[in-house]
Amino acid sequence: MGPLRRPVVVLLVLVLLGSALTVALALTRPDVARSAPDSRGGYEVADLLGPGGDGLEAAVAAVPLALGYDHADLAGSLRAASATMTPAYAARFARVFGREVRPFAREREAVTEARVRGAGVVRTRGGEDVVCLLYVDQVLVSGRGLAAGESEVLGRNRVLVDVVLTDGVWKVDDIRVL
Amino acid sequence: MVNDAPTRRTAGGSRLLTAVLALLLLAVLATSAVLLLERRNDPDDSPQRPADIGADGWEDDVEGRAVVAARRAARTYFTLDHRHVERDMDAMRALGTDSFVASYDAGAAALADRVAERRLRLSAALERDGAATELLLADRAQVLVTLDVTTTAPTGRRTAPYRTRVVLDLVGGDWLVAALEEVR
Repeated sequence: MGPLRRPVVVLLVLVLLGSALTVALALTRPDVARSAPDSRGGYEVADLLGPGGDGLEAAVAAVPLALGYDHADLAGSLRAASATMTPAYAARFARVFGREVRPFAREREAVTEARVRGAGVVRTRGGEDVVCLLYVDQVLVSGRGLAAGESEVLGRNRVLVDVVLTDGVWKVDDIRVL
Repeated sequence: MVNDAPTRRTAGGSRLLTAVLALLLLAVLATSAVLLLERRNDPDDSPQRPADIGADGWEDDVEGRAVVAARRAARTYFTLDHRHVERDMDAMRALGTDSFVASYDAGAAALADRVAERRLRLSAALERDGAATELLLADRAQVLVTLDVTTTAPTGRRTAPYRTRVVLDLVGGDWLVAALEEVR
């Protein structure tokens, strides 16, 4: 290698190394837009550190099953909701479901959806019990007296959801409307 | 002379190549520097542990103070008395960022007129468990705050439930209101 070619080789190596660094920095560039939950469209729960975050995700997944139902398959609706609950709360929930939901659902031939509009952690008790606050709209999407494609908001609820870690799975242990 | 020509051409080509590579290296280093600086200036978007309301000392740490600030903001927002509506609105302005105050002021005059004209008094009640951390980053928080707002007018009195989302920015160690939304 002649004396004139040595700087060329050194520069070439430096350019290649620099290019590799630039590509790596560009590929790992943080997302500049800071995403945050809002009330528009499908709700996405934010990441929160600690057991509160895990419990909150479970609550957001479970509550639509607990507060939504289809008159044509009330047993299936109750079964899906109960699967997200502790046995003790599932028993209490089934009684309320039979007393309040079943008659209304049959009378109105109702299909309802529960839409989460906000969700946050109130407190934790140890690492296995989390109290969450959820904003939930209960919407009648089909039923007697409702034209096709229409919907009716039955309630704009504020609910406290208690979730507990049972055998490694977060289960709903209480739902209380504020 | 015949033999010197290729040597001069080779030397000239090498110098040109060296110059081009040097320029490329400068461009690459400048791009890397910009990306590094951008990264350093980016806000910390890593999630934080939310406040544990009810635990010992929860109001003293930064996550607890976000909840306290949100509760205070929501209560202040819904506390208005026709006898001193400007003072009540100043209390709300004192809790916000400059951009929040600007957006608040856009509707403040109409609100003040309505409160005064109808001789309204609004007060808000909060439950202990009626606030929750929805999002928490190093310098930004979103807190849900539920309130029962009582409106008293010469014609009567009524209480209604409200759902709010308070967005806060950490500015100079204090959580300031960046936005306050009623979730209808």
